[in-house]
Amino acid sequence: MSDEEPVDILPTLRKECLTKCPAPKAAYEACIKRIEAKGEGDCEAWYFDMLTCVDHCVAPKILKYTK
Amino acid sequence: MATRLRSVLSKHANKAAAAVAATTATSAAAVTLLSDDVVHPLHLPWDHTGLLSSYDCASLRRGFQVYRQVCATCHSLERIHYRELVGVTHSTDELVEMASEVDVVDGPNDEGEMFERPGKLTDPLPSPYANEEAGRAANGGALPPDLSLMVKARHSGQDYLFSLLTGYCDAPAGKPMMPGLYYNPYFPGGAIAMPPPLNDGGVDYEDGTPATISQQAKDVVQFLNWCAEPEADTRKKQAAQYMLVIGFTALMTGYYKRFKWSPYKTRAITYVK
Repeated sequence: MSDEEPVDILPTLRKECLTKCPAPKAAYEACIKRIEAKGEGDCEAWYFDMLTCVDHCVAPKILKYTK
Repeated sequence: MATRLRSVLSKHANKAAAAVAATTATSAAAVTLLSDDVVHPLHLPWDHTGLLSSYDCASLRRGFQVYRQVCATCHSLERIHYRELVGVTHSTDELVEMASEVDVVDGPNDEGEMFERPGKLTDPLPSPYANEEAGRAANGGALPPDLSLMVKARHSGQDYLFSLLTGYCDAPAGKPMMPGLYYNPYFPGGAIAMPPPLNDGGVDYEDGTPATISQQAKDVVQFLNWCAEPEADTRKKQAAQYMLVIGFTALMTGYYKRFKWSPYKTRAITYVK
């Protein structure tokens, strides 16, 4: 193992890409508020929308950062 | 997308029957999307999937290293033999040495006893568990599947595997998670028993490539793609050769036909009274 751990670009890339997905992010956050008020349910479908949006931004780029 | 479809569907609930009759295909797609419990992995621009591209052997070698040091703890690769890796990931000598480090049960000998001997090139890669039940017992009931044909055994193959390996994240709000399961949106149902297998710097690449999670995932997925399709490079090369020869033959055949028929095509027929 080397002295310095290499740092993966993927989390940073995902974070950057999330800023380009305001609509699904807002929908997911709205869902969180809804289920908190209601006390039940989950937000997986909205979470998936958000992740898919992030993926559309990440997928074409990520392999360029690998050798 | 699910949100949009949901609102569209609820808006037109009273017209549902007509809509289903009119746009069967669209409705079917919409229903499928609504009932999906995974994030579909998107296509990644792999550099070995093109018609004229081949596997990157350096990446395969790194991928095999990731398999041996990380995946092989739980996952077998029973359809791959050491000899098949010769010239792909390692040289013969390296693989002979690698194989000899493994004890293989062989036999029976002259006395009818099974015995252990050092591995040979013709042996398959060693499996971590003796049988399926042992695999389940060691992993809380979840069997780590054999990876030999995994790229072909899952939808979206290598895109799915890459997404799965790199896609571990926090569970969405309100999603109950059982102990011993990890949230992964690419895994059907979202709860996978495999803990996140890759870590930054988890392996030490001998060629000095920074072993980030995405680098390891890319390498091991390309290696598993080779395991599922070891013939891919030869297949593409042969296809190119066949297409060239067949194309040339077709041209020559066409020319030959026109050449032979030219007297008939160019003759003038006169009718004399």
